Amino acid sequence: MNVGRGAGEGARRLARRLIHQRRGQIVSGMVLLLSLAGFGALGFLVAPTLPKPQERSFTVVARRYGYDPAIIRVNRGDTVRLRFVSEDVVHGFYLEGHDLDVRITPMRSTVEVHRSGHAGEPEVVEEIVFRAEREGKFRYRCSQTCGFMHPFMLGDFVVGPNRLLPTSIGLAVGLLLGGFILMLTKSGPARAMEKDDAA
Amino acid sequence: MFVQAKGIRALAGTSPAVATLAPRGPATAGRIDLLQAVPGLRWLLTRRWFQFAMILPNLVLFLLFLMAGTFGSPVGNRNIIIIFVWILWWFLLISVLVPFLSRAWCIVCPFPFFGEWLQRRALVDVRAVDPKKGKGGPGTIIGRNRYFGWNLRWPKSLTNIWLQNIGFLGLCTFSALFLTRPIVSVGILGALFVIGTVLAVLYRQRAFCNYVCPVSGFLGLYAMASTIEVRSKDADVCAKCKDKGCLAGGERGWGCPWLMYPSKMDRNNYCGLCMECLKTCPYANMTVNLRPFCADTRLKGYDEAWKAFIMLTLALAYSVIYLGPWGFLKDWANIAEKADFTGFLIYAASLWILALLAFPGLYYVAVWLGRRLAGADIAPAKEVFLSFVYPLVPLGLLAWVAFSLPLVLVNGSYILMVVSDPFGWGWDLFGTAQIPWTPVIPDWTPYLQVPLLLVGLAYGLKTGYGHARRLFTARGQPVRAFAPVSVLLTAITVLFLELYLG
Amino acid sequence: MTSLKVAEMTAVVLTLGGVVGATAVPFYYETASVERQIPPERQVITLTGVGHDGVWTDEEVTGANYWRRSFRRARPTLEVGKRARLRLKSADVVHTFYLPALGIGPVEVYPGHVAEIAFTPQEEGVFEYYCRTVCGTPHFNMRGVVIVGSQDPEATAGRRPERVEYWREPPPPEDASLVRRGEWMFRQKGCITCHGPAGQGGVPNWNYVKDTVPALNTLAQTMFLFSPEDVNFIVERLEHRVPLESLEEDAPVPRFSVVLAQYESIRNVIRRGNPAGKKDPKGPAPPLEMPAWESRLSDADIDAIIAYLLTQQRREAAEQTGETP
Repeated sequence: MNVGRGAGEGARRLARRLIHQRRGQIVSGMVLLLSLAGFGALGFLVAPTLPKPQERSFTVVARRYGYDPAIIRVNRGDTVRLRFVSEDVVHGFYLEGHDLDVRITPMRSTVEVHRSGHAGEPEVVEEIVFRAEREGKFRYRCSQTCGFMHPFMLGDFVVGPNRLLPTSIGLAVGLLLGGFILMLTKSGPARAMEKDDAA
Repeated sequence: MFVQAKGIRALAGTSPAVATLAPRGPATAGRIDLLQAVPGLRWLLTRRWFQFAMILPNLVLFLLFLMAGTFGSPVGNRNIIIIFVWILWWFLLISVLVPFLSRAWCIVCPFPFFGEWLQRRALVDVRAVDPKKGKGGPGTIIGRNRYFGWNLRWPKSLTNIWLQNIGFLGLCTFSALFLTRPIVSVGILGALFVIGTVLAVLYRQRAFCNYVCPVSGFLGLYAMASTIEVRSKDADVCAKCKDKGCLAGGERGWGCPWLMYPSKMDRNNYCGLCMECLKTCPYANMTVNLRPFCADTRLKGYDEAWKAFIMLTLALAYSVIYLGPWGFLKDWANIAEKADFTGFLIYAASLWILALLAFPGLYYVAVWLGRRLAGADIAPAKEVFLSFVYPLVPLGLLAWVAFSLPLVLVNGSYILMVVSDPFGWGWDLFGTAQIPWTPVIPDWTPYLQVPLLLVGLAYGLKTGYGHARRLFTARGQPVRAFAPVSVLLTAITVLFLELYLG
Repeated sequence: MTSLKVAEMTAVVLTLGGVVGATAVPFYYETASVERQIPPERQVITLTGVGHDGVWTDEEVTGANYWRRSFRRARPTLEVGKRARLRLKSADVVHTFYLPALGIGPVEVYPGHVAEIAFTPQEEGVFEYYCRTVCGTPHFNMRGVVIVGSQDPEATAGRRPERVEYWREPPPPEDASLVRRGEWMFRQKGCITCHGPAGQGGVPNWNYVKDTVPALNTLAQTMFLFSPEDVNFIVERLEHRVPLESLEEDAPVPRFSVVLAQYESIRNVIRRGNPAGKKDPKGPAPPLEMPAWESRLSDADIDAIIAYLLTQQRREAAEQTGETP
């Protein structure tokens, strides 16, 4: 018991000493964190407001090694209808984060849909319909080996408002401006740096 | 240091203990002597057979890759050479070895193996000059070791990494070929074996590694950020040392094959971690330190600066081509299959112009603007430029990690597959050959990429401002001098964010 | 010093062993493992699908040779009544091997995997195999024969269309007539590989209700166009891109509404494809079936092909009656 209390006391004392010694660093850390949080939040909030959910149809044409459209933009809540065509060989349409893997056979008006929940025979359909529930950018990738560049055959499925982008840009700007504040508060010749470089 | 250490280090995931708790001395600020801290490590690293034992398995593996590339399946993602070299090796190299273990790859690298064997006529043995018998006998005496081959001196004009810069850029222009075709990879790896061997026969020691190997260039540059280093412990011991075994070699080991002077070494760039100086030092004064991220901060020439430009440009270009949705760009790069020469020319020319002229030019303008803003210009222009290019080291390294991450997460299941069937011949050695292609958390990778890029930016800003304070001494001057570059660094980060998330 | 010498010798031996091992062991393992799986009394055929040549080949396809040469079309010979093992590989994309006459497949063959099928050929004959998944431009050429016993493959060769590099067919001049463009398209898209030159038909289709792929030079009759004038009228309208629907009121062609309905249904078959009906409902699916062309042919292209096939009928009829066209 005693030992435990002693250790706890020691840890507290060490913590106090560290806080005392590094007060400057803690303050500048706070400044930086505030700046990051502030600008990150700003980025998060400037994201556009969504229009009313609508239905959007796309015919995805796959070819070695790309998709047309290369970028599909929808908004959260939209109903997405996808049809598929392959111009050359068997391609896939694996949509990240959506448990959807489509096999597109050329010169066939139906596609095979694989979902992890439904083992066994794939579903054969002409069109895939789903609601865009998650915002963000999800790549669709070819899942059937289709030639040399197969692993790099992909497209972007961007679901608005995709707030991660403005948020992360906000964080980068926050880092820059927070850094500036710190630079201005301690601008002057740096001894620590000189020492490091002399080493 | 303008950004407080704790927050940034916590972000970077490097041990804050290194920075805060280690005893601070002038030469060993934030260092932990690993050979003292880890029992048995010094014994292991100073065994004569250590490097041989490290290389051999890797050599066998790479020979297997060459066999698989030549005789195995032409389908890239079913051939071990493509998956292991360009997915697994590349990822480990850029996101584990380089950031944490400096040039540890060079310890196990098989390419100079045969050349060095020919030079030394020894795999584990040392050929030292016997002082009693004098210097007669076969081979050439360099220092206190005996070498075979021509042992020519490397041309003075090429004693830099320009060959590596151009070689790497040239090679990477054709990345769509070697990334996807086993046989092209065989050509490249085979060429590295052959060139490594031939140059070792003609030139002294590791001329190939120092000046030619295309991989070596960026390893050196990014190893500056790495968290380990080989350094001398006590400068006084070195100053008083008459033996200079680290330089000249001796009975216990070879003189530094990388032509460094290990006791005076202050950067990681050209240290291949071969551990010979640990063996040759009579005072056991050489050691391996754990140190904070981005501890070497000085670029020493335009060749190294341009390496930084080339690497960041390539990370950007690859992010566009291989992670971007634009099929026509893939077609342009994919010259052997699509044979679109105009497209390839546009792609190659933009890549080269961006890497060698446009990006350095833009950077130069930012640096020039900063110097104008700062007013009084005390530091030499070259020094300012090189110092302000350094932030591209952490920024570039972490951008490369951010780029490589989705490649390995998405294609990682191929690794298990080719382990069981390395040649694509239908084997199933470990029962994993039939594993379906299964991307790992592809929808969450952006959440990993964002912190990586931000950490790169944070270190870029921190090191850049550190240089500004060193070079510009008047009050307020460093901030003004560094402002344009810091904005440019942020803009580059935002560009990557747009590409990965937008 | 001696211990170092021992270490050095060990290192040299290990190195040489490593080099030799890395080079030799894979081949040894491959040979041994394949032999272990396959008893000596079996006959083994290894076929690799190569998309850019449109062949199932019995040659070895490796990383080194795939992209610099063409591969031989396999024509394996098997003995009757002896166990056989078929090993199927793909060198590039998904292929589907199908040999309906011997009850093999359709089996999907993925790059880098080996699909293995054991079977025993029961009767002599020449049996056609196919690729059943469109696997690139030369796909329609991707078939060949397996010979069981001592049959002469040449004896049956006449029933199959020649394999031509249809996709290399030179395009007609810009101002070529609709019929000429249709002819080019009929060849260049690969229609000839199943429907025969000029749509003569006669290509065998295993277990298909009509035994052979339908001839198309009877298209005019199918469309209820029985006189050259009627054919001319329709072709001319198509040439001038007049929608046939708009002619319903005052067309000089008899039973025009039937013509129009047939025209629509033919276009629909070309666009959407058509599964081939089975002769024996319990038998295998016929290997050849009409693919859906809507992604590869525009409506104008389809009209050109229809026009070409309509005139084929007329030319043949003219030849038969001895008239000069």
